[in-house]
Amino acid sequence: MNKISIKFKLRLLFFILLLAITAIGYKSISISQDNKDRLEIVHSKSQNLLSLQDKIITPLYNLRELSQALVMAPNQKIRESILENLTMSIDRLDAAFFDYSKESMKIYEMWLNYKSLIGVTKSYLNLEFEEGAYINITTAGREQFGLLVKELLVIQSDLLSKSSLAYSEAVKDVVNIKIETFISLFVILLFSIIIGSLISNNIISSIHKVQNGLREFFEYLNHKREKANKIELVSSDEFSYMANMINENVQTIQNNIERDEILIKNATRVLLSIKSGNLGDRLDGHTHNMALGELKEMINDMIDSLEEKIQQEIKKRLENEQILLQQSKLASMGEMIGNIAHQWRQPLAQIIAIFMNMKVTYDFDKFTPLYLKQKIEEADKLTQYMSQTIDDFQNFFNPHSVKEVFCVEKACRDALFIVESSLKHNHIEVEFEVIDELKILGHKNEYSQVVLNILNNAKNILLEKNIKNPLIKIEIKEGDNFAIVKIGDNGGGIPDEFLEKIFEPYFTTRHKTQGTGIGLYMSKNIIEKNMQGYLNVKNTQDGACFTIKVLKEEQDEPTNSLES
Amino acid sequence: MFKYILILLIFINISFANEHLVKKIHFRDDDAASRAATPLHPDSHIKIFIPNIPYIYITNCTNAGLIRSFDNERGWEYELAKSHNRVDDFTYEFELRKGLKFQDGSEFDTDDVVLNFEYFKRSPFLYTNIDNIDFDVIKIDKYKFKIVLKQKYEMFLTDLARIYFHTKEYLEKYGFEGSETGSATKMAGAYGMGPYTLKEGYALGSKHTAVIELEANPYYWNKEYPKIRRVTAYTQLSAAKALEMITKREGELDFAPIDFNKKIEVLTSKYAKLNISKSTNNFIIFFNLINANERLKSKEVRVALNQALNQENLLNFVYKNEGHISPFASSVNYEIVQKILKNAKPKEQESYTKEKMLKLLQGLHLEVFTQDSFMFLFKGIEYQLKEYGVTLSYTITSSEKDIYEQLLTTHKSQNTQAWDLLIWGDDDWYYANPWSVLFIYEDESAWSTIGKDRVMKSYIDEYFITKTDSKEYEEITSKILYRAQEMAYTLRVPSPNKVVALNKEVIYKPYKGAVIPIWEMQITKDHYSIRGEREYPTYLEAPIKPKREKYE
Ligand SMILES: Nc1ncnc2c1ncn2[C@@H]1O[C@H](COP(=O)(O)OP(=O)(O)OP(=O)(O)O)[C@@H](O)[C@H]1O
Ligand SMILES: [Mg+2]
Repeated sequence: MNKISIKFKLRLLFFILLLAITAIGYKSISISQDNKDRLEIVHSKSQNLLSLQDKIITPLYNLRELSQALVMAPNQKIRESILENLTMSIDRLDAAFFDYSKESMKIYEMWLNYKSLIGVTKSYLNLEFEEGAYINITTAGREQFGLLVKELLVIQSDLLSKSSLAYSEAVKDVVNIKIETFISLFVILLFSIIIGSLISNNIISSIHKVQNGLREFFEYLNHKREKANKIELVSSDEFSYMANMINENVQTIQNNIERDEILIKNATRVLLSIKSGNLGDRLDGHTHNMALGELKEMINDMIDSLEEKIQQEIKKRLENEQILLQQSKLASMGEMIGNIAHQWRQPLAQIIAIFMNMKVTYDFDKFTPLYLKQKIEEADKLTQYMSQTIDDFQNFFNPHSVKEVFCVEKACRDALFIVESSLKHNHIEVEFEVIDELKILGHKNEYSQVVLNILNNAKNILLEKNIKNPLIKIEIKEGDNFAIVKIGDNGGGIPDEFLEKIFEPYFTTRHKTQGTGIGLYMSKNIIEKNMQGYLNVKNTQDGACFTIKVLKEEQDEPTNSLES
Repeated sequence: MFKYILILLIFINISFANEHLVKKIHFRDDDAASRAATPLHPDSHIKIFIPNIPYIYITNCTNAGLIRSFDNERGWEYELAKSHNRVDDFTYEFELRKGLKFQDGSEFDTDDVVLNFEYFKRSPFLYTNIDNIDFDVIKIDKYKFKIVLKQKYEMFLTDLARIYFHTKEYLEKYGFEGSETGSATKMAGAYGMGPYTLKEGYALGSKHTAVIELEANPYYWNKEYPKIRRVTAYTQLSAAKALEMITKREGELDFAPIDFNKKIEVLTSKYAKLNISKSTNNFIIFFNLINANERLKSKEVRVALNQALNQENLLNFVYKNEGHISPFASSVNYEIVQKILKNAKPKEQESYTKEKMLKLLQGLHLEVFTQDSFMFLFKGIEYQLKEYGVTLSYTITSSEKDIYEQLLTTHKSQNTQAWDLLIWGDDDWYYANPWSVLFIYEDESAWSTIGKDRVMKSYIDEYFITKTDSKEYEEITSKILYRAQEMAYTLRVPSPNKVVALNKEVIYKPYKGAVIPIWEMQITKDHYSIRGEREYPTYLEAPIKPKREKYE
């Protein structure tokens, strides 16, 4: 069997099928012939029945109706037309009954008698003895009609039962035929199933093997399986050729896939190294897969252009940052000069007073060396103070970036010191409350600068809005892990629509006084980027309140934890 | 050929009794006459039902005049008179039969004639013009006398058939009182001269007893009659009851007029047979123009009502063909009417359109007063009038005297029953003479409900004085008939046949008009009254082919 080709096997199968169909066809033709014969019998029986109904019973009822109408006819004209119909009807029935006399003499007799009764009725009508006609047709005529019809109905029901007998016999035969047919069909089918299944099993087992092989291969392709096994077929038919071909192909595909896998692994590695910031890595390795090759090229190109873009972006960012820093510095410079001016106003006035005093003293000739020494000492003290001020300011803005643990209060005091004289000058009251003594790690100057920015903004608003009893409140306290500084004012707060925006660069409402809108942006950067803290704002009852949260330093144990 | 032999064989077979073959209903010939019993059997007794004008039918039996109405060409034959001679227009000479006796056995001669006429003249009957005619009765000898009219009056001889003679005793006791309905005997007793003596009860027009008993008069001048000893007459049975009595059981009734639609019941009865004859009887449906529905006073409405009736359908479906369509209220079977119809060109009446009829009749409601025996007719009429929106309501009585009571008082508006239509079975009482109908147009008469009609009056006055065998008589009768037709004084219906149920053992030949010749009736030996213990023979129970004038 294994040496036979599938073509031949299929032909064999087809031939068996053909044989079976022919056998079944022959059987069904012979059955339908039988059925036809049976139907003919049933039909002829029912034909008898029908002709009795059509030729005799129905016309007889019609005649009855006509004979009654004849008697009832309201006038002669109608009566004549009825009579015509009646005569015709009688003639037809006469013939029909005569034909039927072969079957039943009795019925023929009854008919003749009924006919004669109608004749009597007619003769009464001819004599214009309508009542007699009426009585005759409603009594004797009716009775004879009843007997005749009864007899006919008996025959009819007899015929009916005969035809239904023929029918039921036919039905019985049909049942027998059905069984016979089923048996022969069963035999034919059994035979063809056995042969067919032998052949088809053979074919199907080959198909199964191929199918299994293919399934394993597809599972391998879908990574459900490590390896695809070879299809092993013992037969030497078309399936074994097919299996061989599939096996070869599977091998090739397996090789290709392995190569591609190496390439993909390489790509993964490259991408990982890109993720970690190394843009210098590129994909290498070889593939037969065109798309994969293209992908490789594109990834390499993409990394190239990405690298270039990043380089450009970094450059641009740095430039921007530079500008911002510059601007911020310029702004700080302006403010610093203003603050210095305020700081200097007092000692300058005293120095001027000293000079005035010296001039008056000289004019009054009381100018003595002691006096002079004393005055110079006085002036010297003042200039020292002024110089100190500049130092202090310089110190404040000195961006020496060494991380250190510093005291929050000190940082705040430093910032306040810068604006203090300006605040006093503008009669702005400052409440400074230290609830907890706290230390934090970071650039102290930067932190102070943030506080200064916030204080400046508050001052600017208070002045801009010309607030009565202007007040700035500084509060230092401890939160969970955090050193919290709250700086509030009574300047009316920030309009809700600006709350989100004030930390953006270049956002300012101070167009008159030439704000740059950088202060808060830089402050947020310092606190949140450099110090891993939080800078937030919210509106209080009568003003804004900025909160600076930075991880506090505890017992000189620095923590690098970023999460809170 | 085979077929014919077969049929022949079968017919031979059929002639033997056979369960599956039904015998035709054989109508035997009436052989009663051949089995007639000897006259005046002591037990002989028949029972008859007279729903209409019983006073006429009864007096016909119990009384006798000089002449008697009869079915011959002149309409009468001699009764108490043997002969007469009309000397001139005003003078009649009569000769009486010899040996005439009253029912009490006392002799009768010219003196009794004179005496009776004296009483009559004092209070004549009112249904002809005799009440307006003065005349003398002059005795010539014991058997001869002459009557001299003082005015021209051509109906005198016919009137004589209704002037009956009573014993002196009766006249002195009860007097003589003519009325609209005649001058019938008021009391039972041997007072008259007719073939039967009134034994019990009486029948006047507006009054009668339910049962009247008659007994054969042994002194009747014609020894041939009567032939039955006793007669019981019922006057107010219901039609249904009478039919039941005569068809369902033997011995309850021997003679009864029946509704046309009951013919079959009679034909199929074991005991009754049908006797149908052409007649000069009439159904008169009066319109009350005196005190009824105002709309009836419009001639157009009455004409429309008449036109609304389809006479042919009435005849077919209501009369069951027992009658004849007449253009007049009077029967078409009167010889004079036949003559008129043959000679005179019928005046065509305007035929109304359906719209006009509807306009005239829509919503008309008429109250009918009728005897129950006429309901069959009114049902037919109602059905036809309904199409024009006419509705009828009924007051029904089973006694004719109730009809008279209302009819005869209406002309003076003294009727107690309101009616628009009233039917009267106007049997041809004036015998073979349309006066039986025409007298209802005499506007001063109690029978008239048409109010004044001067034209009609002049015609009727002329009618009184016109000789019946003259050309003028035909003319004047025609004028009256057409006048009545034109004015639509009555609701015209077909002229009825006489349809009578008889006991099979009664021998009877009907008269055309309002005479039931009871004295001519006979019974057979098988009649229940004289049969004794014997059962009624089964073969006699077979139906009898009805007697009909055409079959004679
Ligand atoms: N305490 C405050 N009350 C009300 N508005 C404030 C307050 N602090 C800041 N603002 C609003 O935030 C804006 C941004 O402040 P920011 O310090 O960034 O810029 P600036 O003060 O306008 O200009 P500069 O860059 O010169 O400081 C201000 O213009 C002001 O409208
Ligand atoms: Mg600012």
